[in-house]
This record gives sequence, structure tokens and C-alpha cells, in this order.
Amino acid sequence: MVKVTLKSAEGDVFEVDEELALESLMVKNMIEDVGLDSAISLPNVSSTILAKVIEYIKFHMDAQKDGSKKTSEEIKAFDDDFVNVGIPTLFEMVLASNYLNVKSLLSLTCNTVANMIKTKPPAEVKEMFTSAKQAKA
Amino acid sequence: MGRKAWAMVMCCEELVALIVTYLGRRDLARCCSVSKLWNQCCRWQLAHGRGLGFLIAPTEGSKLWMRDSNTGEEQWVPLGISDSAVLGTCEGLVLIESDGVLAIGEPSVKRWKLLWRPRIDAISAWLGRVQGQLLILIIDKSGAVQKYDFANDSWIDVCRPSRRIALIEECVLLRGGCYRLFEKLTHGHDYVFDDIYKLDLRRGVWDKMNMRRESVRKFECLRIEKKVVEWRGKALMYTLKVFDQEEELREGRGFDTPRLYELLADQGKVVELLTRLDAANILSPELPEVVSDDYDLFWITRDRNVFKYSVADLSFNKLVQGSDAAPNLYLPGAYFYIPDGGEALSRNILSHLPDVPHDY
Repeated sequence: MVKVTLKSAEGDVFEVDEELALESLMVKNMIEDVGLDSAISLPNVSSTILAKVIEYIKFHMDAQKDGSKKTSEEIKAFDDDFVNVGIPTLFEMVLASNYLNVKSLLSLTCNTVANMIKTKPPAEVKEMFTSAKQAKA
Repeated sequence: MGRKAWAMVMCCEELVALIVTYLGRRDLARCCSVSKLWNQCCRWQLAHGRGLGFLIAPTEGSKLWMRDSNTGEEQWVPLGISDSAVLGTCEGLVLIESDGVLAIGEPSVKRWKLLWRPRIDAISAWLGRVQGQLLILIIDKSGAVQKYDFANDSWIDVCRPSRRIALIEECVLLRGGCYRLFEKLTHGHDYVFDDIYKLDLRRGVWDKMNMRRESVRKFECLRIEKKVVEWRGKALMYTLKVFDQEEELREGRGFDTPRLYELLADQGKVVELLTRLDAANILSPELPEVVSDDYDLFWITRDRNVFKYSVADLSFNKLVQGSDAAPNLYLPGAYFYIPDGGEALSRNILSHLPDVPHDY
């Protein structure tokens, strides 16, 4: 099995199967451009988040394989548990999945953010955006 | 870090739009108060043909095609009527007509209903809300007016026979009432603007609004296509050509300068909503679609450009560059856009009506 080396923002190295790495369109494009000789640097993704992304892709790849005994309920339970993280981590996963171009994860995380907004009164939603504005400034 | 990450998400309009796609309409309406989010998403979605409503167009095979612009889901009118035409839209509802048969639909909940065939040959029909009540009006050549009785699924005459006026006219249905822009035939066999009349449903008569002289003069010059749209409580009239040639010359404006007017029918006048001359001139005069979600005012032109009217600097700002940016906005025939705005959608207006259509 061909291995691909991914390097996080902190410089930590993650060695993953090529099949798994290709689930990220961004990584796939980079492999096509520069080959597999050197580590693929991902300066926008922290080690913690990259580990989470790899965990997500690995689980779903296994679930889709022939002979997988994972039920749709189990997959949903995994997804629910996967995004059951703090707001900072969730936002970082949105950014990472967008950057790495992992569509299913991007969909999952954006849906989770939307659900968070749904349950909040307008004032709290506004506070979220005000906070974002302040952080941007 | 959380705030920084969120700020970065906010900076990426595509991410915001994606999040909003998952929100659903009810929450979108609630988020109207979060103006930054609303502005950002509304702009992005309109620019990408995924606005907050439904695009509707007649298609080959004489059916109505419509796309839910939140989900991208397509929908067909399940009524089995042919040669349909969209007569009007209001608060997420659409009124269609086919060979004298009228139907009303609420695409957001996929609910459609054929109305009982009216007793008059309607040449015009309108759908709107007057004094809190949903109203469907039809008018025939003789000037007879009937309104649809939702409770009994029938049509009721609302204009006294002695007060009927058979004229070629425009009609606009605004929140405050039903107004007709009457024209009268002169000795030279030309139609000239007469006045605006408001239908008093209780008395069954058309009351003349007695437009001021200077406003009448503007309408006298207005023998061209115009659009009326409601926006932030105002009834706006948008015209592509001159109201007043003398005024044009005095101001140095071109003949086809787009203009915005607020129609103050009850006060008997129209007033111009100022627009920056240079900004107004960038609008293409080719068959624009005026879209208002009651918060923002947009123009979608036939060549798929989207403009937004800015209250701050009175200008029209182009939001889309290049025709490929809004592929879903391009439809070969006339189309209608139903802004679903939010509040109306949660009402499920047609839910109390039976689903089973009439057997004609």
C-alpha cells in the first residue's frame, strides 16, 4: 500500500494510505502536481484538526467498503459524536474541510453550524457575528 | 481561536451560503435581524441563482417549471392543466391560469389547488393581501370584478354593475388595496392617462385618487413597460423610459435612463426615489426582473446580471460579473420570482384548503 505523508501547520507528520489521502481533492491535486516523494505540507490545518479529518475519512472509507457491517445508524452515531465538539474545533473543521476539499465533511460541519444557529435566539446569533466581527478587526 | 476561526468562515461567502442552505426558511427569516448574515447570504445566493425563493417559468409542454432556490429541487404543478401562465405572486403564493381555470399554489409546501371556475371571462387576475386578507380578484372586459371566496370556494361579485368601467388599464395590487391605473380614449383614438382608482371592496366602487397635476403629467408620458414592486413598505414603480421629456432635458438624462418612483396612490402622487445618475446609467434597459425580499432590492437582467440598490449611496451595484456566474437565472421565457421572505412561509396559507382539485 502506497503511503502519503501529510505535514500539519505545526510540522507534525501523518503517514496515511494513498487511498485515504485521495479523498481530499486538494491533496489529490497536490499529489498529481508534485508526486509522492516529499511530504505534502498543509499549513492551514493544525495537527489536532488534521487527526480528526483523517479519523473521519478513515471511518467512512471503511463503512463504504464491501463487507462492512456498519449500519446507517452506526454511521450517523459516529457523525453525531464526531461533531460533538466545542465551537472553536467545529469552526476549524469547517475551514479545514473546505481547504482540504472534503465535501462530505464540509457538508456535515456546515450542517452542524446551521443547527447551532437554529436553536439560538436572534440575540445570541447576533452575538456570534459580532464576535466574529471583533475578531476580524 | 474560536472567534478567529468563525471570522474566517464569515470571510468565505461560499461557506456562509452553505451554512445558510442548511438553515431552512423559518430560520432564515429569523436571521433577517442579523443583517450582516442576511445581506451576505442574500447577495451570494441571488448572485448564484439560489435566491431565497422560487423561480417559475412556463416550459415546453405547457407546464410550469419551478425551482426551489434554497434546495435546488425542481417542482411541477400537479394539476394537469396546460398552457399555464403566471398571473401573480404574493407572499410565497402563486396564481396561475390556464384556459379560464385558475389555480393557486404554495410551492414551499408543495400545495396546489384549482379554484372553482369563475362565472366571468377574466382578462386579468391579481393575487395579494388587502387589509390582512388574502385576495384574488378577476376582472372581465365589461369591468365586472369578482373576488374568490376561500371559505366557500366560489366567486363573489364585488363591483356594482352601475359602477363598472370597461377600459384598458393597468392594475397594481398593493398591501394597502387594489389600484387601477385608468386610461381613457381621446378623440384622436389615443389612450391617455386618466387617474388612479382604488377599489373599495365594501362599497363595490372604484374611488378616484385624484392624482396631482404634476404626477398626472408624468403618467401621461408613461406609455411604456413598467414594474411595480413593494420594498420596505414602499410601493416602487420602476420605469425604463422617460416620465417627462422636459425634465429629461433639464437634467441632462438620457431617454432610457432607468428611474425609480415611489407610488403614493392615496396621496395622489408619485415621487422619484433618487438614484445616482452614473449608477442608474449602468442598468441595462433590457427586460429586467425586479426582485424585492422587502429588505433588499435587486434587479436581475435578462443577461443574468444582478444589481442591488444601495440606500446608502443611492446607487445600483453590480453583484455578478460574467454570464456564467448565475446560470440558474437564465430562462428563455418570462419568469417570475417568488421571494419567500420567511414569515409568509411559516403560515402555510393553503393548509386549510382541500388538496383534491375540482373535476372539470
